[in-house]
Amino acid sequence: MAEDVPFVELMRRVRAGDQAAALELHAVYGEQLQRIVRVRLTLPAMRRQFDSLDICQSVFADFFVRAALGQYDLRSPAELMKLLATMARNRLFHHAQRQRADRRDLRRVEAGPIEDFGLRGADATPSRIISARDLLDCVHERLSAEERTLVECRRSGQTWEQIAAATGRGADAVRKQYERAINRVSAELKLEEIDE
Amino acid sequence: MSDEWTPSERLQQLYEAQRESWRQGEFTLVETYIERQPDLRHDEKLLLDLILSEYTLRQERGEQPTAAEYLGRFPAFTKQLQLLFEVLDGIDDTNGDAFATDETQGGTVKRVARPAVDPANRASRLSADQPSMASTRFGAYELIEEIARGGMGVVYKARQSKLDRIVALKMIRADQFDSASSILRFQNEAEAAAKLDHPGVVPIFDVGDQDGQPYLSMAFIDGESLAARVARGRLESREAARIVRDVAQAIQHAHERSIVHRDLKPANILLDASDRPRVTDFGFARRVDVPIGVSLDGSVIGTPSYMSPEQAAGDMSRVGPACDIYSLGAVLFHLLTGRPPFVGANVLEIIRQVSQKPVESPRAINPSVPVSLERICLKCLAKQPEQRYATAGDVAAELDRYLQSPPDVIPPKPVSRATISRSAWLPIAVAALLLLVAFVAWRANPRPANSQAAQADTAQVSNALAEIGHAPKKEMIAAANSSSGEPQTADLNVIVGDESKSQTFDQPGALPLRTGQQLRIEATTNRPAYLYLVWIDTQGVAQPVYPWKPGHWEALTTPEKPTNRLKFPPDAGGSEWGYTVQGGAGMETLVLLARDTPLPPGVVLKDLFADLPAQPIQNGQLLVWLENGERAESGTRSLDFEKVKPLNSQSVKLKLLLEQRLKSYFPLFRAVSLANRGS
Repeated sequence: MAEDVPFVELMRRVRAGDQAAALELHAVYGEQLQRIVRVRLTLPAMRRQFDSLDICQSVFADFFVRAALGQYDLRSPAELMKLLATMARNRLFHHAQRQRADRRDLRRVEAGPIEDFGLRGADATPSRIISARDLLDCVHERLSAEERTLVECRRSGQTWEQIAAATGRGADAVRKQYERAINRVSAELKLEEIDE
Repeated sequence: MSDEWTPSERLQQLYEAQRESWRQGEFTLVETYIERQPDLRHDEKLLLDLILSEYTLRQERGEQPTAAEYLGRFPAFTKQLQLLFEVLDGIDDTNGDAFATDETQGGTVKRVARPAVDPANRASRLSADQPSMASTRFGAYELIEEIARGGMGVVYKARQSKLDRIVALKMIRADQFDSASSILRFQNEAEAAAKLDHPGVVPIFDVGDQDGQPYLSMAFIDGESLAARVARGRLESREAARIVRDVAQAIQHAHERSIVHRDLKPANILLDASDRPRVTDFGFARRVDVPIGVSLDGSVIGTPSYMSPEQAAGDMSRVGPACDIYSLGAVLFHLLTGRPPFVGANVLEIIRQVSQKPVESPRAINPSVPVSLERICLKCLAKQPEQRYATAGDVAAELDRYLQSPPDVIPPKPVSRATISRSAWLPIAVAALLLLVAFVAWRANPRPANSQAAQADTAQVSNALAEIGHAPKKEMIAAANSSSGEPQTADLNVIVGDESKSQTFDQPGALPLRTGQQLRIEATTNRPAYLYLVWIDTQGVAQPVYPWKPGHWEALTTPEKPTNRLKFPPDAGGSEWGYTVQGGAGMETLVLLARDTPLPPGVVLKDLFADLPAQPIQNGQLLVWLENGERAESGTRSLDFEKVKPLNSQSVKLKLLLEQRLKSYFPLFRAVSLANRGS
């Protein structure tokens, strides 16, 4: 896929923690993601319980934290949208599984207080997304020094090969260490449900 | 009504109405919503939702809509749609199918740990609580296995514990549970089947509700569906006749109890252990002795490939036993040939064919079909209900005679293709109401008039059009005649000229039109009718031509009266011209409308022609606008029908808008579009 230079630059700024870039990215792609969630990923019964806006806010919040940890190498808007849509889909799936486990039938649950549903945010403004920055600090606190170094390398845009060369280790080993660290901290912080 | 809704409520209303429309088989396109609610055109958010939703609904129906089609239909949203479609292609999904994927690989969406689930079951997974096979109890029933799953229902093989009998237990799919149409269909089936007691109908044992989940239990038929049987290959003629005869007897039984099945097809006919057919799924059945419900009126119900033209047209007032007789013919056709009478790339295309296209001879597909059996089949498939057998019992009797007699003792009565063709036209204006167009527009560089090459090209174009059933100019278009019963036909001609010469539009060199050229218009009909002529210029601006004072919708030149010959201008002779070509390049469209009575008071034609889209020419190529709503595009020498493409977006809009607006008022509708290259 051809690299979209303005997009890559925008992503670089997002990765660097630029809040204006995060807002810009959300402004450009938020509505499209909402549309996909609304039309494509939810069934009528679910829509009474979920608001696509809330799901998207949740996804973006998660995305910004992970992006700021250097997790993504996105080269085009389509790659970004595919990633966000996949995150939204997984989020819905996990939530539905949890509902099922709780024997909560979406068909029977009356449209009740929105607080009942973890995906619902207290507000739906971009400021909520930006608050993810605080969470980013929490992530950093839970990383070891070595892991923090890895994250910083990724945030600065280094490839796995570059990091491997600098550390004298294999690229795969470096990448796995990074992923393990992110997954561990994500689980600790329930990063997937960041806006709960 | 929309004013009462918040934007999100309106979105939800529209979205659910659209889903319901497609679920019902009404196939309402986005353009129709724009037509009904013009302010939608200014609401990008709503429109994009509806577009994406339509795309999704079509995919759910098994169609393969292309991004190109949508980009063509909605060019204003090219950028947004390109991104959406690219994303959708990259996330393997359907509604609610949120199987796990790996989010950790930036930009590369990889699937991991996808549960082994039949794709057909995806849609219901998230909204679950359908009885799972892990919990095999469902009220008084023990579920054994899932045996069928359709658009709305799921059927389990189950054991009724108290009676220790095996039944088929049918319930609404969980994801359809909140659909009013699903509930209605379910009730329909229960009520209809409960009235029937015939060995050819699958009996209903019990109807109930378990924890809010409606269900019905019916006899378990230990066999296969006719659809499964024919999927393995077409049937031998006598075998096909026997099955359809038995089905016809069962249908006659239903008709005698005022029940019309309306969705008769191989999938709804089960073959039991003795190979006897048993009709099932009366979910779309209707009592013909009860007035049509408002909610169903106007919708298209049934399965397109086996659907009668009147049913395909959504003309519920004409849906009766004759629809089932048509479907019997369609099933017989399928059994004899291995395919339904009409096959198309999508539902809309099939419906168009059902309404317009003559039925192919079964013997042309399978020469071993006896002539007598073919005759029975084609009589069932007559476009006009009154040309079919009067009753399903008559079909059964005729098939029985065939089965009782040596092959072909029924005198073969030649089936006139012309008869079929003529009758095939009848529903066009009444039902499908597609634009009937026969025009030839020549390339931007005029060729030498009267040259042999040019004449050969004309012949090629004519032949090509004739092959698909539409002669280019003199085709007589028949439409329903409500008063006399005689098909109304019309011939529309445009004479193009200047100071030195004049020629009809289909003569070599006549087109494309050029600014300043003069035109005369002539129309003839086979009998007097109230005629109306409207010119739509390249910018989509409609001008009244007849019977109005040109350019003045509010002023008639003469009182309206029936006529069978029309000239514009009225006193046009060799030197009088009625219309001067103006404006920039694009397609000019002349519309002829006819009806047997004057327009009812309150119908303002000006309003019906308001806000039409501009009609650009693409690439200056020779263009032909076909009646099926597709445009054939070619180079300069002949039409290449391999290159038939969807109309460009503006043409689609024009077609849809005119269809929507005019179909209620004019049984005869004809349009000729001419390329204008401007100055």
